[in-house]
Amino acid sequence: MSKSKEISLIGILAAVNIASRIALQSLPNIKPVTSLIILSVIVFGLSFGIKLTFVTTIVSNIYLGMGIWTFFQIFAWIVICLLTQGVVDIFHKVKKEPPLLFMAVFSFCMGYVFGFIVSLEQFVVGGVGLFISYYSVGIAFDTMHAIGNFAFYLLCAPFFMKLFIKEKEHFL
Amino acid sequence: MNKQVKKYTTLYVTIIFIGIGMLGFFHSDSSQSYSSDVAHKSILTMEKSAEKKETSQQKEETSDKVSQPQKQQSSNQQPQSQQSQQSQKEETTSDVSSLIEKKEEVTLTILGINKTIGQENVEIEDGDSVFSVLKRYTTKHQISMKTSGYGSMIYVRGIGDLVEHEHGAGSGWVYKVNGASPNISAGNYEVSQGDVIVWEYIYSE
Repeated sequence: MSKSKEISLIGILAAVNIASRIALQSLPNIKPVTSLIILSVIVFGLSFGIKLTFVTTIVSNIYLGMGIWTFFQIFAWIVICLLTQGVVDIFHKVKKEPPLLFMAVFSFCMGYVFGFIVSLEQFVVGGVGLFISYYSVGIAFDTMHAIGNFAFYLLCAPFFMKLFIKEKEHFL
Repeated sequence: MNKQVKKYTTLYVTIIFIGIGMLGFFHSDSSQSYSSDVAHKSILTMEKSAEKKETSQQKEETSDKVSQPQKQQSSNQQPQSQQSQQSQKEETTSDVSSLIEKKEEVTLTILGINKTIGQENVEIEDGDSVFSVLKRYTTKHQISMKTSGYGSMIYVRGIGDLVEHEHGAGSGWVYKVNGASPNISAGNYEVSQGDVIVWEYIYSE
């Protein structure tokens, strides 16, 4: 993939993420961002996912509010990218594409991973006590995020996977 | 190339996790001393506010049900004896009220500039906050109230004619429960039977 093609793809996908984050901010934590990042890591690889994460988080937080959590959101999505890459590598070792339902369940789990890492912000600020209380309050919201991921993955994956792979082959 | 990216990302993530862990445990240690600091400060402010209450009440010369227990509080400065007295007071009041009627009450006082705007025993329900008690009182007596925010983020800007910033830059409404000013919003502080709530207009001119 050429450099300019990569940049334009990152721009388009980041725009989708940012628009969805801003448009769906009234819904509690239900956003397609995590699903799209997982999809892009599966098709385009780890470095593409990380670049997409940076652009998405920084630009959307200009609208939603910048703070110490920006760093933790980026970090959480980088960890998700890394975990996804790990899972995909395991599947590639046995010469198989990751099945749809397995990855949907995986993105469901990633909702909790994201919530946990973003809650670590309170661990840094206030220690163990604050972290435990903050995280236990947020578990319901993490569940919403996880369910949203699951639904959006099943919704997006068949269509976007085809689109991404076509894009990749065309401009390799 | 992808393998290198993976390697460096793993390294980066591990380093950040170690950093978060170290910072977190550093703060866990210091948070204990921090909380004890806060407790110490709140005791100090309790004592101070009790002293202040005494002087302000001497000025106003309002002798009523509320001021007596507060004076008793302020006369002995040790927090432990204060607490025991409070609990005693609560016990006696609850005993009396259970004899007369089962409804729980708190005492609400609104202090303006050099005068008392209102004072009344207000009945409370389960889950009532300091703000909902004030709201019930003001709607009952048709006193206008200006607020901003909602829920646990509520902020009272004005009661009646007195609005914040009108009498000096630092003027505004503050509340006290049993002589101490809590560090949380009025919409978040749950009242309990026998509490003495004071809304006071702070001003400096």
